[in-house]
Amino acid sequence: MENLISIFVKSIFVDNMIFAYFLGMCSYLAVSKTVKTSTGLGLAVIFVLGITVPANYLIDKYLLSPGALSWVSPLLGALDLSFLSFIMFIAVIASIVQLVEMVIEKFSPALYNSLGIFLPLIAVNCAILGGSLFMQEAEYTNIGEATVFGLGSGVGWFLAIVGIAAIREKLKYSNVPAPLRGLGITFIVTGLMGIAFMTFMGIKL
Amino acid sequence: MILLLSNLVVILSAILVFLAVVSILVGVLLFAKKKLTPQGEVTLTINDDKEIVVEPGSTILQPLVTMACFYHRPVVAAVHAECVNAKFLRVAALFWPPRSTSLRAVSKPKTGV
Amino acid sequence: MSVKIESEPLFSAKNLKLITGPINKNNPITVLVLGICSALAVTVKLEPSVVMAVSVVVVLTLANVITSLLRNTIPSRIRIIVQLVIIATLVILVDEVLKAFAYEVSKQLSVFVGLIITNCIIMGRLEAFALGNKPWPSVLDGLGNGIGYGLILVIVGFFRELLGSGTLWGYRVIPESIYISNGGFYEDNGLFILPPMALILVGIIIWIQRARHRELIEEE
Repeated sequence: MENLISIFVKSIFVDNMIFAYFLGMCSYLAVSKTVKTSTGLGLAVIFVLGITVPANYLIDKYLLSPGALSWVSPLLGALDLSFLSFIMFIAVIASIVQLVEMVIEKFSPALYNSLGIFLPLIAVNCAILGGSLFMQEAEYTNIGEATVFGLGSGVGWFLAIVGIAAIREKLKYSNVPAPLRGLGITFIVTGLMGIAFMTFMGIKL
Repeated sequence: MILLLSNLVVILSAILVFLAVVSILVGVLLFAKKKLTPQGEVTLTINDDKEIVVEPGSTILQPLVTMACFYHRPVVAAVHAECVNAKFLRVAALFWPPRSTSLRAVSKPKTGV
Repeated sequence: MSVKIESEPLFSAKNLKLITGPINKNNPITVLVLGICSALAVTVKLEPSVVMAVSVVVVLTLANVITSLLRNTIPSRIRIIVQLVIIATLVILVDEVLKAFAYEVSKQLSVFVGLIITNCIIMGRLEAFALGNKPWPSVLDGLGNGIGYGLILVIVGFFRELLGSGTLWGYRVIPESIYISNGGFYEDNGLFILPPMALILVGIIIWIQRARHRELIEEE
């Protein structure tokens, strides 16, 4: 249990998707102009990561990693299909996003109206594929750890984007030099936030 | 020779695994589409005289643009004026089973649009 | 009576603009804000930056050409999926080549080679350009955008390695003798090795670029 909590907290603060690895920056910069749109996108990312990382973990464990196919027949135990990972993960992510969009549209039109536009945008978000690839690299031992990692990465991304949106809303009233306005100052502020988040590096759980 | 055979096994199993996973995904998606999105057609009545039949879940913009081309009526302008985010308009089946949805032009379309 | 269609000479002014545009005024990273994800984390040293830049140029150009050749035969509904398959296959090939010929660098790049698939630049250029243009302009467009992206990567990598470790491409540039531990006064700026510095450097590059080209400044 405490292993799960440690993975969760680590993936939110220490291995933050945005500040440590810069994944998902494209939509992060484009959408963070207001807090409202940022919370929508952030929630969608948590949702999608929480579903796709466990799904990809199952695919990796039972189909792709070296020796994985031995449940089909012991003869295939020597196979290593990990070169297929990229294509498999992307296919799974795209399908799950499509599925989630349909399910949300049916069961909660209110949620769909606030989230719906962002869901297709998320399918090619670097953070989603990155979450699955990091999970594959970390070689977790069971699906609980993979799920917790996915949810934690999503929450970390959510914190980052809501934080920068709040700062950008306030920055509109500041006296930023013209060439720095908009994109330039956002980059610098994100860098500073990244430095701040590094204080978490020393946490031992 | 053994290398060729073992390579063949890898290639075949890669193809099989890929096909299997993609078929399962496509099957799940089609199944979900059948169960979750409302089926049948929705009739749009525009400006009280023109009726078009569209499927639910498609965007309004495409059939309206086609109409605007054919009838030189600024139909699209009226829709723009009404809806907040015209880019992602969805025709939802408001009633089940689907009935007619009336879309009225509530303001005069802008001239020159 | 047949109408002769003038074909553009291979390196006409219009075609050359496809290469030079993205290097400065239409730079994918600083102006179009695309492809930032994998750009920043790999620039700790100069060598991975260059390898990453070359990989992206190769994938982008080849993907552009293939999509442009296929553009009339792809049905519209599965357009995105076909693009993703093309990109994913090329990235897998590049990844395997890197693992075979440049193993240490590919270990440093780790997952970021795979993330070229979701790199917004490639999908963006395929959608915006390759689907509607002939193969040769697509090649030039891919080259131009790839070089523009690579330029930013190399600049950031250059400063980060030089000021953060005193080396360039693994070779020592700042002489050992002036380090504090050897009795001198100089110390490496450790901040530059940390990830956030790359963001601040790109912010400064944007600042300089917009100060020189006033038309790029955003309106409030």
